[in-house]
Amino acid sequence: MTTKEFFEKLLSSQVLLEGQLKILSDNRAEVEGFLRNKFGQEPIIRYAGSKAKGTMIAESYDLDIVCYFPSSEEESLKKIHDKVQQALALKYLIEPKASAVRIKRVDNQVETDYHIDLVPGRFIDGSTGDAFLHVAYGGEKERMQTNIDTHISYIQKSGCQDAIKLMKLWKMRNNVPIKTFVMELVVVAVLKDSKTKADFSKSLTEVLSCLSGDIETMRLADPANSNNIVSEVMTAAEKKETAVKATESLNIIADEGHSLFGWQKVFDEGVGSGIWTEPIVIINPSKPHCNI
Amino acid sequence: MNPPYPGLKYKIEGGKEFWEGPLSFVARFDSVRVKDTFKICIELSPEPGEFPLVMENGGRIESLLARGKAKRAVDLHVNPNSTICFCPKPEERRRFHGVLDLKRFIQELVIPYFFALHQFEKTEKWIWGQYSHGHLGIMEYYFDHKSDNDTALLQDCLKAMGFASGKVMENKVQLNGHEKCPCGSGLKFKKCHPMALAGLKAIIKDYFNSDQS
Repeated sequence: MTTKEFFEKLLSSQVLLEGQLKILSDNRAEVEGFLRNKFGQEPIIRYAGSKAKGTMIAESYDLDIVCYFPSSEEESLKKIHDKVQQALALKYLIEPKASAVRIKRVDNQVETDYHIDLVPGRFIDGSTGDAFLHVAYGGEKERMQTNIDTHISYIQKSGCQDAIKLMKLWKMRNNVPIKTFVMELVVVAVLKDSKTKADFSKSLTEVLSCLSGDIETMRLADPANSNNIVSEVMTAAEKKETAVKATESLNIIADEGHSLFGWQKVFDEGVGSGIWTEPIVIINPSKPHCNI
Repeated sequence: MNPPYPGLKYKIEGGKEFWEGPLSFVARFDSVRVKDTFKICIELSPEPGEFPLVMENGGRIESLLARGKAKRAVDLHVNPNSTICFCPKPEERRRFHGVLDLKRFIQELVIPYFFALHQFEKTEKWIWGQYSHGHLGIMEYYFDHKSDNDTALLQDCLKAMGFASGKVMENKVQLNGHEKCPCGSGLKFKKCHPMALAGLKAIIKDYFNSDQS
């Protein structure tokens, strides 16, 4: 297998299965139905995040939804946020986040990693573009202006979706504490003008080099609002650890002569003593049974 | 001889054939990814098409029991002779149609079992569920997989429940949802193992409609 084939295989392994896609659409329909019951037809409820941007990976996916009230809504942003949160808490296990309400999923009484992040907000004017969100980062600022259409378009037009997916996979498998949106912006910043985006060995090395050398100091602005410095949502410790992990990966790749072996190690694809085979996807497993 | 899986080594001992060694795998189910290695021993059966016996001999199952994560070995689907039960007996025929391909056996049954065991170590739950022990599990299995005119499945399930002796079915036919559950819990059957009850009713109905009667 060549390095190119390795990356292609990684990408194809991350395509969501039909069952997973159905879960997402069923969950969205369920949450939307619940919110419509509570708040009527006025709020716009739609996909945001990786589903809308085309950067979702099967190994770590969640559902991002926005619930934006019209600009005529008189209540404050905090009140909008709180009323949506309180409504959801009546039906779901929730966890408040800085701007989102996280709905956690419980299967067989076990809390799973899959979750739904719902961001309440209010459109700024009569259009359905710019919106205000209530944020609780702990500082003075409690309001943020943004535009998810701009975010979606920024990522889609960048041509970097596959590189973003691979870096998300790297993040997951190496427990890197970088925020996903920050990662996306780094990838686009590094690769947007590159003519060799699809040479993943080269392009991921460039992204890792940026994370290793610059993440602690770089300022990444929200494409929808240059006053929002997105990189500020990460703590200094998270940035430092991200830099350390990126450096470790670069060292592995360099030590292995930029070979396939190095990338397999970086992506934790089970190499080392020749006892591993290709990763398998378990479909339709049998439930165990003891005939005693 | 080519190993059915890297890392496994062949040996003959006491006239029996074995594949033994580390089973290292990377597998994904839904969004859960597991990378792990279990030490196993596969004892091949001299009968063609018969499933091999598999034991975990790296101490992971023993450790779970010692730590009280499972009360009994059978709760981890391990028989008293330390062999692992991967699936109900009728599932063996459904998957392999009497022809055993060892590599497929490892990929479709052995690895998924150890994947689930890895998750059990973390969560104390079987990630995709499990069948109840004994005949209750067979009834649940029948209910899950039955379809019209599948007399082969009905035959396999009846055989798995010891129907050849005739005794099991006679006993079970008298049970209904309000009777005590055959698992011995003291609860009503329909509350305790409702899927097994549904499977039993389906078995009885299909039995009397099939050529078996």
